[in-house]
Amino acid sequence: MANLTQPPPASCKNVSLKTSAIFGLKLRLEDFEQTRLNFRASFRINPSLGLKASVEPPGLIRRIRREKFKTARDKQDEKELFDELKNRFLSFKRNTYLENMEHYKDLAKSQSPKFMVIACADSRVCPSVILGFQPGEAFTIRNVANLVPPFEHGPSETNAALEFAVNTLQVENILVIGHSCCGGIQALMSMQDVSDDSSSFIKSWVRVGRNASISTKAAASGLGFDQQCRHCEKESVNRSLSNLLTYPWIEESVMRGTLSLHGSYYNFIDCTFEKWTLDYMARSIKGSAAIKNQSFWH
Amino acid sequence: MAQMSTAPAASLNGVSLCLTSSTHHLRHRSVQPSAVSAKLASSSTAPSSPSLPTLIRNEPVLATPAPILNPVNWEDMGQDYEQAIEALKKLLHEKGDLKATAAAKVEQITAELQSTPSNGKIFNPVERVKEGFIHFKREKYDKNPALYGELAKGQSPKFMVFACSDSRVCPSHILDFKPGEAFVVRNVANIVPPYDQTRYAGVGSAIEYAVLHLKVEYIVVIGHSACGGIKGLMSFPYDGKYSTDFIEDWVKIGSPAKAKVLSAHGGKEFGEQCTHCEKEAVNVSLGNLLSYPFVREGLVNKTLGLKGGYYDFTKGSFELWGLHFSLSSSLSVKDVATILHWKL
Repeated sequence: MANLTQPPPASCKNVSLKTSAIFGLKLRLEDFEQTRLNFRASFRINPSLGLKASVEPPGLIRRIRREKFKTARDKQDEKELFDELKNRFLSFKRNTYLENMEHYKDLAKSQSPKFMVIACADSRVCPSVILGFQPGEAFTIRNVANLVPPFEHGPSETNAALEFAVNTLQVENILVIGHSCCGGIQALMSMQDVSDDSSSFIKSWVRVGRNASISTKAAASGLGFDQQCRHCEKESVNRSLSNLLTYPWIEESVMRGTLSLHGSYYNFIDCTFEKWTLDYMARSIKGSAAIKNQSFWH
Repeated sequence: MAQMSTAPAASLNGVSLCLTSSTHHLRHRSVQPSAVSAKLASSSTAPSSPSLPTLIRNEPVLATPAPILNPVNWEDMGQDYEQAIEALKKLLHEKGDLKATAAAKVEQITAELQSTPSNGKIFNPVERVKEGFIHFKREKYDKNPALYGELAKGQSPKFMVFACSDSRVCPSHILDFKPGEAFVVRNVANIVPPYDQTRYAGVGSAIEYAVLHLKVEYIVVIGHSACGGIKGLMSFPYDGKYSTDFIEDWVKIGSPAKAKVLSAHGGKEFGEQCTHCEKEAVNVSLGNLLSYPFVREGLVNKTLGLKGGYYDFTKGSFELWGLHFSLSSSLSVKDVATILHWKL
């Protein structure tokens, strides 16, 4: 093992501490003892190390204590958490998958969803839950603040998915779902100078919706911040719909009538859902966004 | 001793990145020590055809005959049909002379159902969405006012999930995530690109929001079988000219996975290569997650864990594995010299 005059530095023992953590506390305690003995041995041989080491322990011990405590408790929590997920998957398999084996076999061969859904990553607005989409029905993108960047923005994950859905899967409807209390929209509205603030990822991304925030601030300047955010959430859905039309293959399909663009807004404070369709024909006449078939469900 | 001399990356200044198990295993098949694959032990193949349920009863049934067929709505269709058939069988068991009448009626209904055009009515997307929402509101929202009231104020999900946009793999279905449990990002082939504030601000902002603001505890990247994006990655030649506007550009983030699969499984048939690539791409994404400083920090402070997953819907199985990540504190020059037996 080690050359006893120069024992392994404590930090290296840390490495084994972590990597053998999965085998339980017992092994780690043994390593700990070994380290302590090695420490003692080294002090006897080289007293100056004792002084140096005396500085280390408090921080080290605190950290190790915290890590030990956290790791033991966390390992238990983690195991429970993922056991829960495992049980959920198994019930899904039992109650849904095996019950509808034929359907799932067909799905496994290919998917032909009628919808493409663009929703926020927010944990409260999963489209499968609030709109009851079953496997095979909706090709879904979820990103922060359900934004669709325009064609000129360049490659991003949102437009790769758009291309796949429209050109390969040939979906018939695109639905953009905005929602209340959106953190991303709130960040957008809080940005003072929307043009060059790129200190964080969030700001760099939500800038895509800056036109919506500009028009909101112009139109709703009298309202409180929360009200303005509500307004901006809906405005941003409309902007996203316009941005969708900047993609040539989308505009082509909409013109031909094989693709419809819908905007919607889910308010989870009072559980209401508003939905509207982009009226492409009227748009091209008026030159600005026109909507039709607006409905409100509560 | 042996342990120390093979410890990778003992850097001289500052923090040394010690991806012990992860780098070691990334070179081989799966990333992690404890892979948990969850399969139903007794998963016999399902009944080959959904035939009528057989009634196994010997004792006389005293129940009054139920109406033969109930009008059903789409949500309860499965259960009511079964119940209706059960009731019919019970009745016929009691009153055998009704069999002829029942047979005639069933034939009539079968004929009616066959003649209905296969889409039933013309597909109306708005109606579909409306029905879905009303169902959600009645069955879930109105029945759990406490939960939804809390959620309206804020969210604190434990998980951040990366899943594919594929319509068949919504995490809310396969892992039954309820509202408020998981912050979910879905994109083509569930790819996590490396840190790049100009090109990949979309994904970066989601990770930033989840880790720094929502303080999620786990990031789970879930790959799946028959992924169109990965199939594209394996098929596109990448020889200079792109045939798509955006797709090739996006999926090429997974090229390290493609390279590895081609070198390790080059001889296998295409479908099998794609399966390997689907899993490898999850590992590439997990590795890319490490390029975000706030993710690394969370891992080191043990406030964050990374998991990879693979949902195979052709077999109905789910695999889960984890990534171990640790930093060792800095070593002085003298310590390193000692480890390496140099003379200073």
